[in-house]
Amino acid sequence: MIINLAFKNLLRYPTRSFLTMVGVAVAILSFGLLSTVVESWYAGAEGASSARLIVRSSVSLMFPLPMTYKNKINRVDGVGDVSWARWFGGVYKEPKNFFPQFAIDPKSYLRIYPEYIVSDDQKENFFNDRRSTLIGRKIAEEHGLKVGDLMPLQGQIFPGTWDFVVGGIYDGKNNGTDTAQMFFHWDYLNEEIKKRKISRDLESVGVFIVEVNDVKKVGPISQDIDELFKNSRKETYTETEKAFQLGFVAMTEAIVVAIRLVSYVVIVIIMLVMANTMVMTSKERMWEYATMRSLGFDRKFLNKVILFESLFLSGIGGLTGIVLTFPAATLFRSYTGTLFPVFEISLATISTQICFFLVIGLVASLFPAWKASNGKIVAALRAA
Amino acid sequence: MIQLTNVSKSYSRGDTKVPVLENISLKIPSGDFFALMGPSGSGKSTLLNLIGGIDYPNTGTIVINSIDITKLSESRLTSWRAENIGFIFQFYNLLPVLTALENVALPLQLKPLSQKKRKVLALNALEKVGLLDRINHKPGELSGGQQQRVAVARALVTDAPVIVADEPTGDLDRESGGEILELLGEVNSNFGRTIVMVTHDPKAASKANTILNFEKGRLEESNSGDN
Repeated sequence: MIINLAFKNLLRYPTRSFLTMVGVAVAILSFGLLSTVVESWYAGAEGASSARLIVRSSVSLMFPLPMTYKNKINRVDGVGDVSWARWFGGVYKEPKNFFPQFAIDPKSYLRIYPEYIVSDDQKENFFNDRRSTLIGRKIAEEHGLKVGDLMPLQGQIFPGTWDFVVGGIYDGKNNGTDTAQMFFHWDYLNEEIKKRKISRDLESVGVFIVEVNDVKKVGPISQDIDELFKNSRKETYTETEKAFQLGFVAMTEAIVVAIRLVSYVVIVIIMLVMANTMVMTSKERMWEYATMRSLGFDRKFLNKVILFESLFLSGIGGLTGIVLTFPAATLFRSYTGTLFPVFEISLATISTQICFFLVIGLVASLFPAWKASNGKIVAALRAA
Repeated sequence: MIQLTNVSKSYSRGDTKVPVLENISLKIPSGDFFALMGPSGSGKSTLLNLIGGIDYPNTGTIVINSIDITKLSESRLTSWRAENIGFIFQFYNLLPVLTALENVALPLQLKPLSQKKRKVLALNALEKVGLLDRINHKPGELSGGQQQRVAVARALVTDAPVIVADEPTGDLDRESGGEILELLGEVNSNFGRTIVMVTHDPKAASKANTILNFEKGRLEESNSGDN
């Protein structure tokens, strides 16, 4: 009876109910999308391993470190493996086609990053050809690239045209793995720099990536590494990969905070809109509630009718919003390309969306329910 | 038997108290068709609300079938109403989203009955008021007279011993009003229900067995109606 009455009340003014549901759907969809954007911002940090350390210049990431540091780092007690990478910063076809490109040591890099899955034959391709590149699945799909294709980049930091051949395409071990990166041989970059005389920083790397044997010892190992190069011309700063990634996020934290704030504001706004709708509808029906109370229906019954009606409104709207978040995210991903390497709607986002539409429904019903069950029957009947 | 003893009721308006009923005492025998007459603002509807248990007096007692309803808590009074009172309102007060059948069956939701039994009882009540051909119509699809018949059926369906009717013909034309009064008369005589009706229409009041005139919160005189 309660559900039947709540549902019939919902259909009393279909346009009003429909528009309110659309409002809730849009709010929940917006929240889901904005939340996913925020999460994707942190995706790099989330996917970072706690067993990996990043060694960079203590001054800035802009200043490279000499390659000679590699052997010294390798000798630090507790270090398992060392690899290195250098930011390239090239443009593929157009500047809008942004994706990170790193010059790496292929074998050690793929040892340290087992989450990049490459078939054995493609791995061999990549290892054996100095001009070959390993690209992530997202880049391959977005630009229609396959193994063997030429992939010229226009260098921004290292001027000139750089011709690469796609030697392999890697997939992520899980959804959180960034598959919008491009890797190529550090040896090739180093040789070309010498040949083209385009930089003074020969035999240099941007960062060393260090794999430690014992996760619990990352602190002392970081200190030991930095201690090695103390008072040298190029001191180092060592931190966990996660801290390193969060450092990047911190640079744009104001934007992230703003997006998160907007996503909550949207929810608050729709909560007020829906509360207003429920207050209006229940005000119009106050005489009906009074009639029902006259007939012997108690407060609990009326509260449940109002709560269910409110939950129906927010629930149908909310579930629609959640369902629509998926195609909206796909559309968003296709527009932004590789700007967000990981753009997946998480279970946490969906759970929060569900919680929000339940809270919206509950909050919107509170005042009308209180009013309907606490007003004087006689006064409400007079308004009929 | 409905017995009111020294019942007073006043409303607060700002800092001042406006007395509506002053020391009203009266008895209404079971099975009576009782009319309360008086001009607007005389307090007759207030008295009806007190008898119907939807308001409390400031002082005095109201005993209906041996229960002093002024002593009941609000929740117990709510349950008591479901069992003992059938309401007929001037503007019918039918839920617009429900059909005639659903409106009549509404009070039966409070009773431990099967859906089938509720439907049978509601259909019986609608048959008594001659509306079996309108059971699936919503209030908006019925005339005023038909809506009031549905309201009468809703008051009848629970077998409540007392029916309170507040200006039941006030919103109806002369013909429909006459039909409703005939119907109330039949409900009283055929089913033995006590009917307490408020009206300002002497013609409507004349259908009652007992008429009580109200003037500024006091009982003025008593008459007998046509019946």
